[in-house]
Amino acid sequence: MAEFFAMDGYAWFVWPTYVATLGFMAWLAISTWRGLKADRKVLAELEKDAPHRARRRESGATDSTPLSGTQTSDA
Amino acid sequence: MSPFLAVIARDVRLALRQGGGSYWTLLFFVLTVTLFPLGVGPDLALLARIGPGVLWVVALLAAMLSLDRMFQADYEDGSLELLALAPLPLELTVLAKAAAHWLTTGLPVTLLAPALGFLLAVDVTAYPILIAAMLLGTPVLSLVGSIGAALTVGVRRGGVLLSLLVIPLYVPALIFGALAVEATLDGLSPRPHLLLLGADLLVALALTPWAAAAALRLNLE
Amino acid sequence: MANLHWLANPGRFLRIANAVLPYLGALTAALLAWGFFAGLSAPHDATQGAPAKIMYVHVPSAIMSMAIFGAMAVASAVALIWKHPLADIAAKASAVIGAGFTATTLLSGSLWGRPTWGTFWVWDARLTSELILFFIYLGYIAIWQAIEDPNRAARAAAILCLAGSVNLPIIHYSVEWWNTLHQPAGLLQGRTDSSMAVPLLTLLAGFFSFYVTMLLWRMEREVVGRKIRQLRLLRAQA
Repeated sequence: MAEFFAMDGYAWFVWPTYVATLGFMAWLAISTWRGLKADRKVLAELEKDAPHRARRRESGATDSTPLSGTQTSDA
Repeated sequence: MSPFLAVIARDVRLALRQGGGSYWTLLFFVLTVTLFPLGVGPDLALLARIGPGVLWVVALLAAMLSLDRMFQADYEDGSLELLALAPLPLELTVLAKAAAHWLTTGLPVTLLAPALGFLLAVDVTAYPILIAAMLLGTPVLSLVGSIGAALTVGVRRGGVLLSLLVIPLYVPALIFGALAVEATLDGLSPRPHLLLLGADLLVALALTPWAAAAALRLNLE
Repeated sequence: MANLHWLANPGRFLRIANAVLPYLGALTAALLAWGFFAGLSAPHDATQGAPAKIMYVHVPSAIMSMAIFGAMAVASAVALIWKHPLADIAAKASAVIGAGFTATTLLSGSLWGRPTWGTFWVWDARLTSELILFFIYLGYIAIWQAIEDPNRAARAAAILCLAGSVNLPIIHYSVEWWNTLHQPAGLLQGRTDSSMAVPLLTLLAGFFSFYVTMLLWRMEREVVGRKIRQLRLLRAQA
C-alpha cells in the first residue's frame, strides 16, 4: 500500500493532480447543490408571500435572506 | 462625401483635437518601449533579439488602450443612437470607426516603430518587413478590438474588462507579426507569415463588423 | 413584464431535469469510481512509469475543457438565433465547469511535465492554446458579471463566445506555427495500450456525465435565481 502511494517517488507529482481535479469536481458539486438549496428556499418564501404574484409591499424579513448566488444579488 | 467617409473624418478629427487622446497613445508607445532597456539591461545584443517582439507587444497595448474611446464618448452623449438610426448600416459605421481608430493609433504607431527600433538596436534590414507586417497587423487590432469596445460600451469602468476580452483574440496577429520580422532577421523569407497575417486581416474584415454591430445594438436597447 | 411567460418552458425543463438527475448522478459516481480504481490499480506504464497515472485526470480534463467550449458556442448560437431562453442559461452554467477543467488541465499538465520534460512549463503548442482558452473562459465569465441585466448579459456573452470560437482555431493554428519554429514539437507521443485505454475511456465517459449532471444542476439554479429576481423586481415596483 505504501508502495502504491509512493508512486515510484513521483508521489508529489501524481497525487496533487488527483487532489486538485477531484477537489474541483467535489467543490463544484457541493457549492452548486448548496446554492440551489438556498435559492429554492428563498423562492419558496417569496412565492408563499406573494401567491399569484399579488403586488404587495415588501415584508422585509424574507428579502434579507443572504444569497450565495451572484445572479440574484443585483436585484 | 459619402456617409462612410464622413464618419471616418469625424472620428479622426475628434481624436486629433486637443484632449482627443491620440497623441497620448503615441506617447504611451514611446514611453513603454523605453522601459524595456531599463528593465532588461542595456545589452544591445539582447535588445536586438527581443526588439521586434517588444515593438509588437507595446503596439498591441497602445492600440488596446485607446479602444474604449471608439464608442464610449458617442454612447454617452447619445450620438451613437443617431448613428444607429442613420441610413448607413451599423456594420459599416463600425467599420468606419475601426478605420478611424486605426488611422489615429495603428498607423502612427507603425510609422514610429522604426524610430523605436533604433533604440532597441533592431537591425535596419528588418525595417521594411516590420512596417509591412504592422500595416497588415494593426488593422486587425482595431477590428477585433471593435468587438470588445462594442461589448463593453455600457459597462462602468469597462476598460479593464475590455482588455481581458480582447487580449486572447490578439494572439494570432501578434504571433504572425513578430515572426515575420524575426524570420527576416534570421535570413528567412517573411512571406508565409505576411500571407497569414493578411489572411487574418481578411477574416477580421469580413466578420468583426457583424459581431461589433450586434453588440452595439444590444447595448443601445 | 412581457417576459414572464418564458417561465412556462423552463418549468418543464425543471421537471425533466429533476427526474433525470438522480440516475445521472449515480451513473457519474459509478463511472468515476470504477475508472479511477482500474486506472490506478493497473501496473505502471512501461515507458513513462508512475507519472503516466496523471493521464487519467489530465486527458479527460483536457477533452472536457474543449468540448464544453464547443457546447457553449452551440448554445450561444441557438440563444442568438432562436432566442431560446434555456440556451443562454446552458452556456452560462457551462462556463464555470469548463474554466475549472481548463485549470485542472493546466495544473496536471505542468505536474506531468516536470518529471517527463524536466520543467513545469514548456511553451508547447497545446499548453499555450490551453492557457489562452482559459483566458477566454475568464473573459466570458467576466462579461456575465459586468452586465447587470441578465438578458443583455446573455446576448453580450453569446457574441463574445461566438467571436472566441471563431478565433480559437486561428489561435490554435498560429500557436502551432509559432511553436514549431521555436522548438521541436511532439514531446508527447500518443501510444496507449488497452490496459490504459479502457479505464481512460471509462473516465472520459465519467467526466462527460459529470459535466451533464453539473450542467443540469447549475441550469436549475439559474432558473430559480431568475425567478427570484423577477419576483423581487415585481415587488419593488409594487
